[in-house]
Amino acid sequence: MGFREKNAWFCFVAIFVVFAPYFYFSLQYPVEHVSVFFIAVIGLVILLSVFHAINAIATKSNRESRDAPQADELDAVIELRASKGSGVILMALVLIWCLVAMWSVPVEAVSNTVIQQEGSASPDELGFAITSAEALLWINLLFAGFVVSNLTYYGKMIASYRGLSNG
Amino acid sequence: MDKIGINNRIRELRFLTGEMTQQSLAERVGITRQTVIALEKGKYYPSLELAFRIARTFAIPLEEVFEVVDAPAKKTKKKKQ
Repeated sequence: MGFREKNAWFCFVAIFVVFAPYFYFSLQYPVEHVSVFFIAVIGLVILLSVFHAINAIATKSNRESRDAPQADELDAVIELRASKGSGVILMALVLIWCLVAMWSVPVEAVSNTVIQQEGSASPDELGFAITSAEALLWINLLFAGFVVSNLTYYGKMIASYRGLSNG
Repeated sequence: MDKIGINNRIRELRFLTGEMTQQSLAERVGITRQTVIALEKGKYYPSLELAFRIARTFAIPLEEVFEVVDAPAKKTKKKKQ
């Protein structure tokens, strides 16, 4: 297994290990776990740094040349394919998020406002307000899309490298 | 347009050139060993620049390293008669 394939494995596992529990808790209790976001990000940075250091030490060619191997044209092709795949996933998820947010949050919030202020104002004058819990939930859902796109990126890289090694 | 495949003699040429290792070839042409393996297995077609660098390493013309072949035809489902 090459340096870049190992790196892709490390990143995939680290992102999954950090963000699976994060989303498990934050989507259930959005307000109580705001600080967990920062812990998760710091944890991810530490994990990746440790993984990267171990990978650099463990890779034979690195020890000999005392430098990380340069990406060659095959690595570049694999990265481009992975970027394309993850970009499509990110675009699709953001689009779905926007559509769902447009159709659910404002309507729900406006109707709540209408109930509270019935007869007090015309619909044009009504603002809409969502609770901080709802806002954090929606932000977390958008962030989940970004994380899924990242997992797709590294997953596609791993699949490409495995495809080259097998068969 | 019919698809074409590209065969190469990299493995054979390595052995003819003093049993050169994959790592050694990779270092000479500036790629990783993984890319040499992919090239030898025919899982990756090199860029024109890389193809020329490989040919130059073996000190032979490009067409003696790579050859164009007809790609195997895709299996098509037989229509029920």
